[in-house]
Amino acid sequence: MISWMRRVLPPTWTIWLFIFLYALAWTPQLLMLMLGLPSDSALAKPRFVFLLLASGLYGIHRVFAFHPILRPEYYKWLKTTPWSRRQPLPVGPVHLISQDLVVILIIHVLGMENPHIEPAYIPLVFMTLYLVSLSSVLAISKIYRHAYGLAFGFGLMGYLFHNYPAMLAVAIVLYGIGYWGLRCSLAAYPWESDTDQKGVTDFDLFLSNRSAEEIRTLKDRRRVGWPYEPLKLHRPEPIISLEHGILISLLAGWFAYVICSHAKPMDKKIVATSLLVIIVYFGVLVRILVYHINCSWPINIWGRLFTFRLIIPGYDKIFVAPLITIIMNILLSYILPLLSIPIEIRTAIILSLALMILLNVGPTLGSWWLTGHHRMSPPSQLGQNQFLIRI
Amino acid sequence: MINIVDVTHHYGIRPVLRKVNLQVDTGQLVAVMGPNGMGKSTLLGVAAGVLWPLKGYVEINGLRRRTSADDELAIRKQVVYLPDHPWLPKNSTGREFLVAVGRLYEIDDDRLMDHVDRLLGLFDLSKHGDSPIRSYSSGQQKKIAICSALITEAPVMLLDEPFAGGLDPSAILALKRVLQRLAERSDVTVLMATPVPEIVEGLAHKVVVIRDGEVIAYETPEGLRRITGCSGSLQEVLERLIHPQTLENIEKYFEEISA
Repeated sequence: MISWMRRVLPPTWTIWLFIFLYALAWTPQLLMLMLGLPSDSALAKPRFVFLLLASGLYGIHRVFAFHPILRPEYYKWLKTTPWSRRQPLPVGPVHLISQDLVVILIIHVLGMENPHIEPAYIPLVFMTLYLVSLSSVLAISKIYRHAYGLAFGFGLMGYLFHNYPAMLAVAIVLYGIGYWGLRCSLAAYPWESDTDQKGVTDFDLFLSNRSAEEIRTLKDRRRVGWPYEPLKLHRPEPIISLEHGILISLLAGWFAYVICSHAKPMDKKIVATSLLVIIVYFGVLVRILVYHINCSWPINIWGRLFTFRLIIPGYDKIFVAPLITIIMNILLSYILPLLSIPIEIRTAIILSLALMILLNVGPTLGSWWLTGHHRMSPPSQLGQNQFLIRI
Repeated sequence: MINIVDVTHHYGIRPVLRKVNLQVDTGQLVAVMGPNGMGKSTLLGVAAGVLWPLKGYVEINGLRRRTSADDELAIRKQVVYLPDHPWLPKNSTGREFLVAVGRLYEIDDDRLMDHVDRLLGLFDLSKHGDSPIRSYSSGQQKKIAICSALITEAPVMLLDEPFAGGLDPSAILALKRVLQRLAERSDVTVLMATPVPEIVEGLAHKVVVIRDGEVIAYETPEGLRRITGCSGSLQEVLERLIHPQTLENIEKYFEEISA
């Protein structure tokens, strides 16, 4: 039985730590019993939170400890073997197996001690964190469709919050999507980076089983300083493609809808406004900052005013998308209520549109770096001088 | 060929370059001269594409800077720019830095390694080639920066004060000889800023003289002598071009003293 369970269990010391901490969480209750004091149901809550935490960590462990893409040493070793996707993974499967059911049942049973606490949370927390971990693995191995499918599904789980059977049903459907994605992820083995075909890539470094310090040093040594770095000699890859830009925007809108729909009627407006103000204006700020990495204005504000160059199209074009975003945000905040659209949907629409503009409207970073009418800044202005030395 | 057309540039209110027109033919070595703060580095920055001129444009080998991504990439692969104050990766060794720059310019690995060794030897850096750049003296850092420009084998070189920065006499001699060799080649174009006339003599095909952001002369050294009517050293010629009022004031001062 133990060797059967060992296939999925975390290291023995973590199990002993779990037993010790869980026993510790029982101590106040046992002391009260020994002292003949009446039992307090509030004391069961910390134990239940601990069980939730344990089930969530187990969900993360089931992905992060078993998928080779997240374990450089394991991946390096696997590459030396004739392993193929048709064979089981040597260390253990990433998909759920009957042993997982046993683990979760044990934690579930432990959580059933207090009838006032809903034990269904335990499998839900496990499934949610397992699927979140799985979606991150799918994104790393570039199985984007399934990763987005899971992400949209998490929103649905959030929307159905408190309806445990429905949440579990969604979780099971999401597991199906995750399992399908996992098969695609393993089919894509060996996972190689295509971001930089020349020399050592960040992904290679990640897989090289070096310490974080060594990786930092190696990355540092690939630097070429000013002016070679900003004067890029190769067309930069887009950071976010149009497809990802649209999907991320829709996802953000969907999550905003879910969050607003759970707010109390009195608080909905505050929640919606906070979401829009924080995300939209923060997004605007981030976008402007990203376009100013190694680039600054060609002439300062006084120069513009005194030489009557109030608009420099080749430079000011980077402010068009942020400006449209802000104007759209303000206009729709006034127009949509007049159309009697519920506040949750309004928030989702405005947030999605804002992010779509910020992520997708040009100029692209590649075209900006190559053709924008900006001044390239030496690193001293950007706090990068920890790696570089000015002569 | 470098073609700078009607370029005007401001950082603030005062124009740093005013309607500068300059054509450097392929195979020429042209020195940009003038007092400090008159726009030499700005002119090189504009030609190098790190600055965008508020008026006018720059063409390199027939392609206009920053008009299309493809043209700009094509230009960048043909041009190397060495600013007066480059930033070097302090934790890399000199050799690693040169190899990284050479690979950026897609130099064949075998040729690159050989060229790195020869450059380190030329600038007396062989012993330090495998030490981190942070351990170099300022003169050695300048040398490795110069090597980084030479390793690219770019046909268009824009060098901002390459002789400044604490170079020792042997490095000055080495760089001067390298530039002389490059000047003899018909496929390499060099635009170099320097305030030192002695270096330019016998090296540059032509000299651009800049004062207050304007090109006041663009001629061969002999042509400059002809314009000024001065047969002396290039320094005297430049003094007449750049500071005629100062020279008159000095003459006047000594005349009054002797009177």
